[in-house]
Amino acid sequence: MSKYLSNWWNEIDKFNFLIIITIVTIGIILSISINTEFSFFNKHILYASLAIVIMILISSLNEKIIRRLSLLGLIFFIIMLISILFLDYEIKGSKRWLKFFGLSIQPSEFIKPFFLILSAWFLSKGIQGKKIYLNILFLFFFLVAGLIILQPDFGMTFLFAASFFCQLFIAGLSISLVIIFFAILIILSITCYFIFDHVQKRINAFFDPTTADTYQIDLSLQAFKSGGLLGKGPAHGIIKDKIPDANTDFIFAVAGEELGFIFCSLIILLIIILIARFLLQLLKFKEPYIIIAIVGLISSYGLQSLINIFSALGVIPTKGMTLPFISYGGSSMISSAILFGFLLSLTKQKK
Amino acid sequence: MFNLHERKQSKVFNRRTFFLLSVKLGIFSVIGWRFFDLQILNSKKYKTLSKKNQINVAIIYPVRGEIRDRNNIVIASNKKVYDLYIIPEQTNNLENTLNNLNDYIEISFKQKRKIINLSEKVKKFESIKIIEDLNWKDLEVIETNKIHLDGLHLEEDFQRIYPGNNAFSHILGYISQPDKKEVNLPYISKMPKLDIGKTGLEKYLNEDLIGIAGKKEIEVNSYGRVIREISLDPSQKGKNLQITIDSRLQKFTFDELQSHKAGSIVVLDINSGEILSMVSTPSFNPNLIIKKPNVEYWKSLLGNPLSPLTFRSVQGLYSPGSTFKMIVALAALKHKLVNPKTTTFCNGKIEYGDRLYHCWKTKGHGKMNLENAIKESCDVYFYELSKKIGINKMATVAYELGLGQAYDIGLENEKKGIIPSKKWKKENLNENWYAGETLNAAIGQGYSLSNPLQLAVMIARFASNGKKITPTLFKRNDEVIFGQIEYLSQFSNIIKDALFKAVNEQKGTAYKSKSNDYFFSGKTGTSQVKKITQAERESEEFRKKTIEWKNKDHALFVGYAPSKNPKYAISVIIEHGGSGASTAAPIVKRTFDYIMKLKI
Repeated sequence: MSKYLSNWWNEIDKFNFLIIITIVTIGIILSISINTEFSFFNKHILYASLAIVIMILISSLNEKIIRRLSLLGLIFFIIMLISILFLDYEIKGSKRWLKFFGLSIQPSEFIKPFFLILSAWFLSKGIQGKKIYLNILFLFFFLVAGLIILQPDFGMTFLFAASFFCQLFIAGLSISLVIIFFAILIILSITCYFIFDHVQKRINAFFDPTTADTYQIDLSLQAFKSGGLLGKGPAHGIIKDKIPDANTDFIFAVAGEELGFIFCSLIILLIIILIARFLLQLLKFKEPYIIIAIVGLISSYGLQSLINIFSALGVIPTKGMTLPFISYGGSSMISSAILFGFLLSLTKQKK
Repeated sequence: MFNLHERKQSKVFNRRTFFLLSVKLGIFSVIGWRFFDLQILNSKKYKTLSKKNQINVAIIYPVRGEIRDRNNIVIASNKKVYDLYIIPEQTNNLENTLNNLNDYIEISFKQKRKIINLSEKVKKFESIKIIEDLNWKDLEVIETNKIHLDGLHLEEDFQRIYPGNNAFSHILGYISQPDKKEVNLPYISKMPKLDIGKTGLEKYLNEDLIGIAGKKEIEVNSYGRVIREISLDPSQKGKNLQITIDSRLQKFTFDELQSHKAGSIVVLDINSGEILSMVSTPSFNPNLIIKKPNVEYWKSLLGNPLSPLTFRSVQGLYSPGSTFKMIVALAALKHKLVNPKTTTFCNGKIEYGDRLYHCWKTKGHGKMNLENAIKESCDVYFYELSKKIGINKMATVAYELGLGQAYDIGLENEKKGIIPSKKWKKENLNENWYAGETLNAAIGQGYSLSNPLQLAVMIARFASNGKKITPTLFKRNDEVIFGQIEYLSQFSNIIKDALFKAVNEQKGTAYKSKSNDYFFSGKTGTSQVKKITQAERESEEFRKKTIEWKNKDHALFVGYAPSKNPKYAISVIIEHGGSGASTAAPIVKRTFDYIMKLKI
């Protein structure tokens, strides 16, 4: 066992692993300061420790097993996504969660890492000339994206599609197709705006804060402003009591208020280093599969963090997206663990 | 689609990786800038704050606009009230203070426990409301005994008040807390606890009446205690609005209805279409709905079988009865199927198909021409006439005279009613029209249903020689131009002469209610509620018998005054009132008397 662990420790990228652990720790600190009720903070720590164990386990697997695991995971969560549509369980106007032994699971969070691994595999086959792989891949992409949009969860659909797009981009998608892709994206978002009420409401609120309920954003910005350079100190913030979803969507506002500018900058710096390091490591690799997989996974992480922080800052409309490893929420925590487990496994130094 | 050359591929990988990397770094630097802006540059504004304090934004709720009648008399306004609060930390002992208070104002044990329990849950410097809307006596007692009551203070608040009580309740509606859906309305966002209009014009005019919220920035410490006020942006009161109702007339007509269980009166200004009065009974008192606790009052309203919440003037549907006969006459004149001189003999009934159709006058009216048939309301004459016209032509005229449509005057659930026709029956009942049903329709029975507002519009259109008057609750410019029903201007004198004689000549159905000081015209109506059986009809005593209230006929009257140059149109409906002539016509006379006295 100890040999196994030391073997694993020698192979993985230690620096990246330590950064991840630091981010998880920051999440735990925030979860303690956000709520003094013991049960809450207990659960977050439970999820965090579970996440670390899962991440270590997955990162010790080899790439073949990872592909098989991804195939199983993809099929399992597609079935869950389908069944969710038929179960009557709504939170805030959309069906995203599945009740499972008293836990609510959000399958759309889990499906991302599995899909991105498989799509990397299929794409790498595709660019070697096997067109059939590409066709199957697109079929699956539209199936999954369609299922998520039916919930409806536009933030997640966007994140999913954007990560996939980064993979296509790195695989060498021709520039004209890139432009067409963006055109379709713009048309789709305009259509969503006119068809779906809750999308329209959020976007209107963003552009014209005076006419709409921008309560959350107002408070969030208030939190950042009152935090200043050093913040008010953990557990001394007040605004977290007033912002709904402070522990998930607006976790960054809590950090801004209680820990201040320097600490927020530190979190962002950690995220940037993580992304940059994984992307720079690509230069070592030659196999298209590994490159595409890493780009997809790290893009998914980076975009999700961006969306969360941007909406807390009022730069983009609120999306209901978590900040990986920092926001409260089991689904988000475990799926981030799987995602980084994959990344650590793929970047292992082979001996 | 993809570049397949292997050497190029690895170049592409490298180039594009750098591209992605720089895009992401770029975006994150935007975040960094935004942070710097918010947390360093912006927070300078608040530098005077001690580090642990922060700014809270408190919403200042606006005062709701008033509603006035056509003479600027206030019919919905706001009363300043005082609520009594206690701040636990400012008392030596919360329970002692409450006990002291009990010496002056009665506070039940249960209430006391509730306050003490609450004080343990909230922060100790927060105000707890003890009593809402203190009366003057209690207010005085508390002011004079302030020294013994530590920690108590009064706060001003506004409460909606409706001086007209039950008389205006259906038109105005009432206000209450918004439900989940209403909280999202754009004009009440940020004011989740604002009372908003729930029914009637209070609801319709919410956007104008609500006003604009103000806000106050206060500095609070990390426990939420208020340190000081930083800025104040006062709220703006909602608009004051005027409606066309004359409150004197409204109260008068409402009182007229009080001797009856259920009914409605509508009075229109014929020149402008403005509604001068519109009342419905039974009614409710909006002041009692607003005042908490109101559970008992709600129970009594919902438990009342006559449903006081229903606004009969626009939501109540009745067979128009004989008031429909002018429509039949007009349809016949329009299609040249009748000559004012032609006569029909009424012997009290006619046979059609295999059924007998009776006139209300069992012995018959004898020889009748069009004018007398309206004046004396002869059923047989109109049975015969309707056979020549057919149901569809009658329906067209009825619609043009204003029946069968909603006017969207701002009140919810305005009923359209039914103008039966062959097409209507096919679409709604999926049955063919029977010829005999035309005869029933000719005297406003059968499927026909109208609301009292529509009947007032109908008689106003007759009175104005065919102006397509539409009703409104909001002031119109003096010279409002309505469309014209061309054929009615041609024949209106014939029908108006008959309506004049119905009131002012012997044998006219409303002759007993005629006025000696001025002339008014109109038509009575009595609409059957219970089918009369053959056996009942044959017994001579039938009409004199006292019938159970709910089986009595509805009493109707539609009319206008003065007969020359008409200015006011009226429709009266008394549910189960007996006959139009005996019950509705006298109310019309008294109302017109009152209007003439007022000179509106």
